[in-house]
Amino acid sequence: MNYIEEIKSEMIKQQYICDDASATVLFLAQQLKKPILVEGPAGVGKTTIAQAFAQTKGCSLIRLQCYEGIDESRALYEWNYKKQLLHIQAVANQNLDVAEVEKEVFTQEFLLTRPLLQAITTPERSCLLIDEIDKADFEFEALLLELLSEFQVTLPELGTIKSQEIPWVFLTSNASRELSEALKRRCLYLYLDFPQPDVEKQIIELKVPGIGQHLAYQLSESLNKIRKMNLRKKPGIAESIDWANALLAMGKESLDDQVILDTLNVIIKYREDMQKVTASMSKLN
Amino acid sequence: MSDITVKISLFVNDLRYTGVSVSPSELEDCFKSLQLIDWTNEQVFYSTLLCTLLKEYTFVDDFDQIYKKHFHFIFSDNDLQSIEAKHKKSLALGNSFGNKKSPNNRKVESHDKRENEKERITSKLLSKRKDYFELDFYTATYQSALHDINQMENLIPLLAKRMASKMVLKKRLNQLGTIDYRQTLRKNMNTGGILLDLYTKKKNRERPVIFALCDVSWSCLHFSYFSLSIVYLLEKFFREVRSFAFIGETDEITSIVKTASYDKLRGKVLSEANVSGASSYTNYGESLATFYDKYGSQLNHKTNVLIFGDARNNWYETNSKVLEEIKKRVRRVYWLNPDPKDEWGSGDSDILIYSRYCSDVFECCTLNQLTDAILKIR
Repeated sequence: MNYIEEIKSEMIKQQYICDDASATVLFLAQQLKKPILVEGPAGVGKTTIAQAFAQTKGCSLIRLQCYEGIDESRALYEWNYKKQLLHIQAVANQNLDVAEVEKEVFTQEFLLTRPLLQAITTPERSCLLIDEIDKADFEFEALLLELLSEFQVTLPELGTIKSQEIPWVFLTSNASRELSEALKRRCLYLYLDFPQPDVEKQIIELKVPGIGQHLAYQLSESLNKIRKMNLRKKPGIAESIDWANALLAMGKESLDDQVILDTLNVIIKYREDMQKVTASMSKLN
Repeated sequence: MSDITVKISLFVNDLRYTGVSVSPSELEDCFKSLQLIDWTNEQVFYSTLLCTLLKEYTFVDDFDQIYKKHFHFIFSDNDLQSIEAKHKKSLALGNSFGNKKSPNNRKVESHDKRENEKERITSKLLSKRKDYFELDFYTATYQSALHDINQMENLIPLLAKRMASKMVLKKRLNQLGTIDYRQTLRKNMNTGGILLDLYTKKKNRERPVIFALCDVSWSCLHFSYFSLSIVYLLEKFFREVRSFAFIGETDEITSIVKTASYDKLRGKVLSEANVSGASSYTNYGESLATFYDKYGSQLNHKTNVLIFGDARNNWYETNSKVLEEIKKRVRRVYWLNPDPKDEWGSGDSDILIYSRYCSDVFECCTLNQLTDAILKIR
C-alpha cells in the first residue's frame, strides 16, 4: 500500500489531508496520464487539491478560471494584432515579398499564449487547473476535448502543437450543469464531499497551528451540525479555517452560545441562513 | 476470459441497466487501473472502480448497491459502512422517482408490492370493504416516499440552476435571427456606408401561459411531490403559471404554491384545497370534468395545459371527451407520465386513450427526463 500512503504523506506536507479515495485517484491519474474531474459542493477543497498536488510535484500551476462566454482567444491563444500591424508598417517600405511578410507575422513571435497553450508549451512539466468548467459554455467543452485526450492543440495558421511534457490536468465543477459525456469519458472522476468531523478536526489543527485540541473538536462538531441544516450556502472548509483563525485571534479556548453568535458571520453568508442557525442554537453545543 | 474480467463485465452490465452509461474506453481505463493497484484494500479497489466507471455523483447510491452485490463479500474486513456513510449525503438526481423499475433497489420490491396491492385494493374497493391491510400498505409507501423526498429537497435548487443554464443557451440560439437591413445600413452610416457591424432582428418570443394539473393521490405519491416542486419551479420560467391539484376533483392551488415552501407544499395542498372528490380515489374523468367546468372559460389559444399524472384511473370512466374539448380551446396539451413507457395501457392505465387528445406525452421516470420534457414544452 506504499504508493497510496506515499501520496498521502506528500500531500500532508503541503497541508492537504487526503483520504484513500482521493489518493487512489491521484495515483491512477499519474499512471494513466489522465485528467481528473473534481466535483463537489463549494468550499470542500476542489481547487486546493490541485494546488497541493502541483506543489508536491514541484511544478508551476497554470490556472484557467472559466466563466460564461470564455472562448479560444481567452483560453487557448490569440494573435497579437497590434504587434502584427506594427511589424507590417515597419517593413512596408522595404519592398518585401507579400507572402513572406504574411508568413512572418504568423509565427510564434506574434502569438499570445493563453493558459491552455501555455500548459502544453512550457518545457517543464506543468499542472493545469481548469476551474469551474461548468460555468463555461457547451462549445468551450468541445474545445478542450483535443487537449485532454491527445495533449495537443491545432492552430490553423501554425499546425499542431504537441506537448513536450504531458501536464497534470485538474478540472473542477460545481455541477451547475451536466458536463458532456465526451468530456467525462476522458477524465477520472473524484467527488469531494464535506469532511467527516474527525477529518475536519485534523484539517483545522493542521491549518491553524495554535488552536487547542478541545476547540478544534468543538468546531468540527458544530460545523457538522450546521451543515446538516437546510441552508442556502453551507459553510465550506475554507470558512471553518477562517472561523478557527477568528477564534484564535479573539483568544477563545472553547465554544459557547455567545461565542458562536458573535462569530457566526465568519461562516454564514446569508441573512436567512443566519436566522435558521440562530434559531437552533441550543442544539449546536 | 479470466475470472475478474467476467466479474467486472457483469458489474458494468448491471450499472448500464440502471442508466449509468459506461463506454468501452472507460472500461479499458478500469482494467488498466486494476493492474496498478493493490487489491487487498477495499477502499482503494472501490475508489478505482468508482473513479473510472462513474462520472456522475448522482448515481453514487445506485453504484454502491450494485458494488455491494458484486464485490463486497469478497473483502473480509467490512469497511463499506464508512464509504456508505460518506456518500449518504450525495445527491441522487438521475435516480428513479416515478414508478420505474431499477435493479437491486428496494424500489423494485416496493413497486411490485404496490402493484399487487393496487390490484387488491381495487378488488376491495369493488366489494366496498376495508381492512387493516390497506393501512399497512399506505404506511409503507409513505415511509419509502419520505426517504426520497429528503433526497429531493437538495435537488430542487440544483435542478433550477441546471434548467436556467439550459434556458440561457436556448435563448442565445434563438437570438440569432435574420439580418435587419434597415438598422444595419442606418448604424453603419458613420463608417461611410461600409458595413462593419451587422444587426439582426430580435425575435420576440411569446411566453406561454401554463395551466398545470397535478395528480396528488397516493398512487402518484412519489411523483406528486416532484410535480408540485416542478410547478413551484415553473413559476420562475414562465410568464404566468396557474396550478391545480386533483384526486377525485380539481381545485386551484396557485396561491398555495406562491406562498408555501416546496417541502410543505403537498401537505398544504391536501389540507387546504378541495381535491379529494366523492371517493378520495383518483378519478381522472371526474377531475378533468370539474376542471373544465370551473376554469374552462379561462382557457384560450395562449394557454398550455400540463397534466402530471400516471393516468391510472381506478377503472372509472375516462371522460376523454372533456380532454378533447380542452384540447380544442388551448394551444397545447402535454401529459407527463411517471410510469415507464412499456407499462402504459396496462391494468387501469388510461394513458393510451388520453394520449389521443394530447399534443405530446412524456415519460418522466427520472428528473433528467422531466427537465428535458419541460424544456421541450417551452
